[in-house]
Amino acid sequence: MHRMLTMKLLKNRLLLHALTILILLFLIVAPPFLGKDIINILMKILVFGLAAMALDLVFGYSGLWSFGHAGIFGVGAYTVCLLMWHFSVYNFWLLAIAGIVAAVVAAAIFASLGLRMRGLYFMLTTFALGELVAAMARTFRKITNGTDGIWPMRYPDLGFGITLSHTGLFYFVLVVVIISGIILFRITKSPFGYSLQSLAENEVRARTLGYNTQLRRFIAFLISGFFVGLAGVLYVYTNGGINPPDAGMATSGLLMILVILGGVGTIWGGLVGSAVMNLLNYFISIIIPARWPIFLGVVFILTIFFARGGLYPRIANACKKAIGYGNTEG
Amino acid sequence: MIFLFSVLCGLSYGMVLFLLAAGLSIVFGLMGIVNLAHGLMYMSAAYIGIIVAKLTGSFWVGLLAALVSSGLLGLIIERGLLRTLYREQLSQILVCFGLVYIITNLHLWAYGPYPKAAPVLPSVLSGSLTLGQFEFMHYRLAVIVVGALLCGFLFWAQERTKLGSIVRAGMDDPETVRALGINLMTINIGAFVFGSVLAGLAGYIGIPVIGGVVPTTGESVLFLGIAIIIIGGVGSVQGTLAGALLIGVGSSLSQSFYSPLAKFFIPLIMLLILIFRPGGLVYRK
Amino acid sequence: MEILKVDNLIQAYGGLEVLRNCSFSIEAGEKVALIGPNGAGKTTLLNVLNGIIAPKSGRIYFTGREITRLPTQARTNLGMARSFQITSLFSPLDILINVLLALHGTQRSSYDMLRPIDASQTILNEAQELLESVGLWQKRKMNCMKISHGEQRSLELCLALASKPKILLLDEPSAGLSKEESEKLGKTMRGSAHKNVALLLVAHDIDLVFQVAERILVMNQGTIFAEGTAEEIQKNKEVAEIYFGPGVKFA
Repeated sequence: MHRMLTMKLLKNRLLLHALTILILLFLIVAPPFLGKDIINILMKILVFGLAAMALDLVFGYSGLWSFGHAGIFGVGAYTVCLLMWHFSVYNFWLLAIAGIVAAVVAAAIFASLGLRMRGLYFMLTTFALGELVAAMARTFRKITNGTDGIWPMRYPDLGFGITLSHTGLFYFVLVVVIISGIILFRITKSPFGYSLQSLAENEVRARTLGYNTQLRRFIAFLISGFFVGLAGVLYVYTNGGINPPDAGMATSGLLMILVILGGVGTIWGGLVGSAVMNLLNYFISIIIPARWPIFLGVVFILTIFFARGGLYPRIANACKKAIGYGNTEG
Repeated sequence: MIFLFSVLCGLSYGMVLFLLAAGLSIVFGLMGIVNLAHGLMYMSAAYIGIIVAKLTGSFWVGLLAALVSSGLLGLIIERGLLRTLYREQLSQILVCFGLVYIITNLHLWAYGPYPKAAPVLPSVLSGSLTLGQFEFMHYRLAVIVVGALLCGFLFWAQERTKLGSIVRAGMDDPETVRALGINLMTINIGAFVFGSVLAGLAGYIGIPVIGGVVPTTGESVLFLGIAIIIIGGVGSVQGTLAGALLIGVGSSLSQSFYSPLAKFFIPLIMLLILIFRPGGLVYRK
Repeated sequence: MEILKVDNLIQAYGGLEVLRNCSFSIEAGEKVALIGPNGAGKTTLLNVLNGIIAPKSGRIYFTGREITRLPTQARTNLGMARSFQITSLFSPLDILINVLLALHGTQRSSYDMLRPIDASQTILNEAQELLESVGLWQKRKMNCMKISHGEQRSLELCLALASKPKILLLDEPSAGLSKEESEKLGKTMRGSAHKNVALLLVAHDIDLVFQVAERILVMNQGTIFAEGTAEEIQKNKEVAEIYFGPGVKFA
């Protein structure tokens, strides 16, 4: 019974899987031949894609609209930068662990304050806390270098004398992001993951079935914080450094847009949204340098009319239609 | 003297903030959405007002232009885009962001990145009050008075008029209000447009108070609006006033006396409120 | 053995008292029905028993433990299950997932994060059993909102039974069902599969009540004012009065 279902599913998504494999092949084979610029864009897509995928876990599955996720991202990144700058710690693994732990702690604070009230207040609370992180980064000059930011401009030191090159960093980020995406996706298909969807959909029913809904929301936020923190850690290397706006309202908003654009509640939509946004950004700003936000804004609005559930589901559906399966169970 | 001066400056700033945030608060209370495009009404009205005032040489004509333009913009946004996506909050967020990107960049294109200041002030208000070594503009005093009057009017409307009770009921229990046969849709649209007009008013009269407008003003002002809602509480005139004055006077005082705190002041207050009084200073229900 | 004991529950909304000194008890495996006119407080009572609302005063004991302030999910894990008057499913999910969620809810596997929800063969078999008993196994991949109302009610019942409860609180389970469906439901409830499950059935459907209940509690204005077997209740004049007014026989 199972095998038959899997076969049908595979046929359904054949085109989609084929496309994915092609893209992956490209990403594996091409980089040594691509310019530094393009690799930087690809890395930006991956890092922000990871942050967006992490956000989707709480935004799309648990019904928690976090408008301050960039704050957690910033905590991860700033922890790495502070350790480098003030304590000359350069081992990647130590820095990553520190950054991720700090991000998870920040996520715990965000969640415990935010989960005290219902609904849209969560959005306002996380917004305030995200801005608080950015404000702290701006204000405490001695620690964070204020509005100038901290720019270590380093490549990851993996220990044993191995330091990654530019291309090496790309492959490293690629592997980390893909594995993270797979983990996040698996979580959503697990009992825990489905329980998140259930509590977002019908809280009373979920509790009546035995689920501790507040605890689950909290845990989901911590998991999200883990992966966002990881993204922040990687960002320090791919971007060269961090500054306060990266932890602020505009970036939080951007992350939300990436999730909505790509498809809420799909995990991989975050990566798709990031790819579309960054690629459009890059190409449009080559053609009309100062006016690209207008185009981006128009794209957002058009997405609502042509890809209501997000770009990833739209693309997946188009692939299904192309080989004759169409909109079966959607 | 410096204390008095700072407080007065803070009050005038706070009044501008109050007018800005009032619309945001009402819309959030009634429709459950944070109108992310709210800052745009403020900003575009300021710019249009400046241009018109420059052209006609009259402060008042500029004011009229500002109010009309922000009201129209609010109407267009509400009817054209938000209404067709009623209940689809995610799409609304996407639309608002799209609008912010587009309109902000259009402003940048049209007006350039440098701050624009008010070209002309009403002649009757051109003097200033001397407080020790500081000059407090009569204009700012007028802003305080106008703000207070409007606040009083809104409070009266909220508490004493039928429309006010309908709006308050619409925030607490929309189902029942609809069941009573009241067209909540019209109320919502009206509130949205009214809020936009207030924001436009704030934008225009606020230019001399805040010191000029830039294309990123929309974004910074949205932040202030949300901060006021968090601190003051949603949906009540008193709450919005409390939040606005706290931010206004607080920022002003910390600027004068302990400037490192100034940048940090608003997020700090937000944090304190979230810890000790989530729901805001004036929390109903 | 007493499994549920309710002692002097009082619940009020503002000044309006909804439950007044409500007391009763249920034995293990006993099938009890709760009837009464609209507004008597039946659903409120279920909500209080279930932990969705806290009572103003009074106590609830379940399997010997006091559970008055215990959160809903803890009560479910002790063996209390509930179905709702208005069908309460997880609308974006398909039927199988709904049932799997119900099955995992009281198990340690509910915190599993890396295995798919349908990975456990044991749980899958239980799901199959539950769904086959109401004829929904073939439709298990359909979205749960796309089936008929009667099928949704059956699914609702499946979700409640999934946790293998010691007591089942049912709120109008036959609402909207046809006569045959209702009878079938009654047979299932009385069947051997659920012999050891205590039942508190809130219903307006008198046929179902008589079919299933060993004992009937009659509630009016927030308090239990009569109880007895089906015959006793039928002969009770006071009960007839609260339903039909004075001078009418209840038959």
